[in-house]
Amino acid sequence: MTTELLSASRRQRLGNRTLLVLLATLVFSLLAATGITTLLVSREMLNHFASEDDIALNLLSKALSPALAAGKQAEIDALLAAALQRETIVELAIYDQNGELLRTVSRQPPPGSDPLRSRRPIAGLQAAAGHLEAVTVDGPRQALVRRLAAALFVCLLPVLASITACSYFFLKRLFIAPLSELNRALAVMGPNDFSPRLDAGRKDEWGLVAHSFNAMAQRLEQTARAGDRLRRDMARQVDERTRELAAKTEKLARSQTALTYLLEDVNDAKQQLEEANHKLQELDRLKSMFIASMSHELRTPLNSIIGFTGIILQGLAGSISDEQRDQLQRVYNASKHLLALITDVIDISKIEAGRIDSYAEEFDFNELVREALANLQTQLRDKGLALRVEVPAALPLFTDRRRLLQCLLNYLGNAIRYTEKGSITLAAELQGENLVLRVRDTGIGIAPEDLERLFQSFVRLDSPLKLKTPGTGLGLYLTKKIATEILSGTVTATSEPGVGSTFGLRVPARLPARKEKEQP
Amino acid sequence: MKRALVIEDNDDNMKLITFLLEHHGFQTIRAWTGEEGLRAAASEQPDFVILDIQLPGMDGYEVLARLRSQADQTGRLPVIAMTSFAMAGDREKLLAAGCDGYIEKPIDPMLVMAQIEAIIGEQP
Repeated sequence: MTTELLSASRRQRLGNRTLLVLLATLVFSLLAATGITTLLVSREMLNHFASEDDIALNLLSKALSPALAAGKQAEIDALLAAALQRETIVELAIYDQNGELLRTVSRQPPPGSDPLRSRRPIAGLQAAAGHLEAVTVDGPRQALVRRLAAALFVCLLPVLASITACSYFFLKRLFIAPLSELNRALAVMGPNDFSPRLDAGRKDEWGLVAHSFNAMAQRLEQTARAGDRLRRDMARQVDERTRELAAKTEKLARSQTALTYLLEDVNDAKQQLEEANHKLQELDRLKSMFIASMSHELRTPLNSIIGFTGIILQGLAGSISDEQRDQLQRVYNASKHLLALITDVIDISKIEAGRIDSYAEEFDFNELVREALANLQTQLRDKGLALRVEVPAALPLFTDRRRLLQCLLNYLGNAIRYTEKGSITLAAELQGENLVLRVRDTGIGIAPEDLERLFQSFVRLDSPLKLKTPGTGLGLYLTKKIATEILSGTVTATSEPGVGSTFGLRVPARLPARKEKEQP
Repeated sequence: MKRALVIEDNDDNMKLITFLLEHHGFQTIRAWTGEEGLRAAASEQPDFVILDIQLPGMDGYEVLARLRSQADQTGRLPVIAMTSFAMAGDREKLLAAGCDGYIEKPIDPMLVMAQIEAIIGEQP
């Protein structure tokens, strides 16, 4: 910037040159004016000289008129001779009224002169008496004037010409040439070509213009190049994006196709699943029907087996030997076990099929305890176990009596089965809205890791008692099912191996009403 | 001697229950169908009835309803239902239909007489 300013101040020479050209023009104008003035003055002078000749010849003509009329030859000759004294007059001739030459005088004209012939009338009395014809040439003054004028022009013309040429040259150099150059550069300069540069070497304003122009061109070129780069980058990016998009579109199309296949597969699978589900439901229905049917069919023969075995065992059908009694007792136990197994399996299958609803009724828990004891009395007596009952004198309930009894029998049955000595305690009380009952034994107990599996189906824990104690492996599973799904309660179990176990049941004392289902 | 009318279509069950009843000192009248049972109830004047529910043709509920519809002594006979449809609701349904008691099949010969005597409320 600084250099540009410096160079700018140094380069402002165009003004000086313009002044020079103006001066030259002034000089040219002065010279031209001088020339023209000279021309006009010389012409005026020449005319003036010519009119002197006219006056002289007119005077001669006047003077000849009376001499001609009088026919005085001498006077005419004298007049003619006097007139011929004038250095500009070289020949005189007088003609009469008929055009006849009367007299003529002449002398040798100076060399190189340009003779001019003129004719004028000589006045007579009435009409013209004749004519005077004169031949005049330039005198020395005219010649001098002409030579001077010619010399002046000869000197002036080349000066004028050279001044004109110089002016033209300078003007051209100063304005036209740089303008043309600028014009050419501007004409070439376009959106695709920023190459034109001006010669910035000139030390005048054109140099500055050229410098500015070049700077501008360079900036434009840089801008254009940057624009080009940007455009190319953008084009490349657009290309890339287009390619990526195309790839993604293709991928998407493939995914869509895959998805379509997948959907078809899923639909097929869904249909298959629905069919399978339908079949399963049908199977389930058939299973339930089968179980309901089996329930009756299996129980009927068991009725006979248990019944008659029991009669014989009781000695009602006659006396039997001890061995027969022992064997029959085994048959009786096995058939009771089978009956329990069948009953449990049927109950579980019905609960799992959601085909058992609760039937709540009003009763006292003590009734239930009495019924349970009647059922278990033999077993308790056989094992020599004491049963302690810790139940309030009145414990009214409204729930499914039969199912609650089932749970109670299960807990008590297990306690008796797995306790060799000591006692079993049945405790029950109302806690808020719930009946909480506990069956505590002093049996073998259960290892902590086994407690979790306890309420699963067909789990019978390994124990020294397993082989000689009957059990379906379904009792606790069924108890849990009944407690949770029919009685809306929970079961618990805590134990200490070798000390005893406690099984708990917590169910609503008043069972919420449920929608009744049709029984099959 | 108390007379028990047993209405039961299954021969084993019939023998079992009549054997037990007779062994405990009851007289038994046997009927194999509902119709036969109703006739016997009218003609034989039993003291109580042991009624199987799953009977061919006229079932136990129908027999019970007809017995209860009688205006005379027959309509007030104690009836003990006996069924292997030991399901929740059966007990309520039977008691609502007019049964005096309810025994589940398979019957346990060790317990059944105690149950029966508890229901009819007296010794034979």
